[in-house]
Amino acid sequence: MRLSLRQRKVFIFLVGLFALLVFNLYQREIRNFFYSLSLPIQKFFWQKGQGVSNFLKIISQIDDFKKESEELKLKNQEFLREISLLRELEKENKTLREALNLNLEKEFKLQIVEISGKNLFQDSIFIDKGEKDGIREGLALINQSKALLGKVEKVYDNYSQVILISDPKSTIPVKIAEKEVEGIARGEGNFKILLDLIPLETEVQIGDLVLTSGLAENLPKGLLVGKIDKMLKRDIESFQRAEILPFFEIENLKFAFLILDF
Amino acid sequence: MIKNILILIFFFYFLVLIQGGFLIHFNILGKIPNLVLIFLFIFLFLEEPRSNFGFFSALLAGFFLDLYSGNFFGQNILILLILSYLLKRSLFLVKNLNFIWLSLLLTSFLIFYNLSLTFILTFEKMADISQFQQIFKAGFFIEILYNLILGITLFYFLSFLKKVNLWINILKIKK
Repeated sequence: MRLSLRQRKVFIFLVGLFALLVFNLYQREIRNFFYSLSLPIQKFFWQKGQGVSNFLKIISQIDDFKKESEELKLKNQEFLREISLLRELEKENKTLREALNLNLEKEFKLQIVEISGKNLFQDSIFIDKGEKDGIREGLALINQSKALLGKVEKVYDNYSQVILISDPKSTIPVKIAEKEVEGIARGEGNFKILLDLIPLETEVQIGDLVLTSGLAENLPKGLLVGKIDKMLKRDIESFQRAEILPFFEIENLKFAFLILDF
Repeated sequence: MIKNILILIFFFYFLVLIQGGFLIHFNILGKIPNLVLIFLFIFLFLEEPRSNFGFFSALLAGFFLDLYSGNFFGQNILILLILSYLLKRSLFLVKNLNFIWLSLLLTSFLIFYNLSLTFILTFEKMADISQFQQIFKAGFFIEILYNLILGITLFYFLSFLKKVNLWINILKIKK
């Protein structure tokens, strides 16, 4: 049976429509298959990209390095003086640390993960641990300095997708350190975060630290969100807003920690 | 034919991986070039006007962009098929394809893609219309410019390779 051109076109259209339906019904399985397949390749590209990018940065900064070298020589002398002072403090610090036991792994139950890629259209990243490793949606991702990176959005068998705090879908209850003022940190996309709903009477300064308030599920209190970078005060608004500079740079991320329990 | 299709599948698959893994380290204000879109445009621009291979490339490009975007399958496929059709129609109308036409068509291709995608995403997530207005912020123009510069550079590079290949073939025949 030979089909006419028109019949063939209708047939191709229907097959395409059916394929789309199947793809959407089984998107989790299809994505898991492709992501598992591409995870090592994407890791390779991520590492190479980091390498090339760092190399180019170094080349473009040669002049700066020369200036810095001069400055560092001067500072070096200053530091030598401080070292002797710090040695004394070190002894004191050691005693205090032993007393307080301030280690991340003792504060939280952590799972180390490797970053393998970024979502093309959102501020979200892929990590190499998934359902098989006991990862579940909503877990917080932090770096070694206790800075919050984001929360697990989707979990697949061998990997997970983490939505960064700068993604427009992310809203986190936060507070400004030492001021006990609460607000909301809202993602703006392109690695930008906005601090909203700060009462007008509060005096917020550039450089103030923003921490998680502990009001959100799965987010412990006191994780670093960023520091105030720019105030956006308007007389007509009933609240103040500010831009937050996050404590992480996506380009330099390689390993991070998921908080499994706290 | 099957060999060409397989090459094309692997080509777009690797482009998406390079985009999400490698190019992210070369972002300008968080914007990275859409390599898949640029290569699709170049394929459509360089192929024979009556060939349908460009549509197949659009289908593949859309599929891989949908796969790695985390959204529903079909939105990128639909946009790229429509854009490919419009581009091919425009190429029929333009008599002398020069640098100005190349830049104009590539800019329109990029703008329409971004607008359509943002429109679909806004509609899909039932988001506020202000999300749609966000597109016209500075980042949008940076993204277009970044893609445009890379697109034109790649286009002339590939055209050069095509010419070199042609000369090699001519020399081989003469021998």
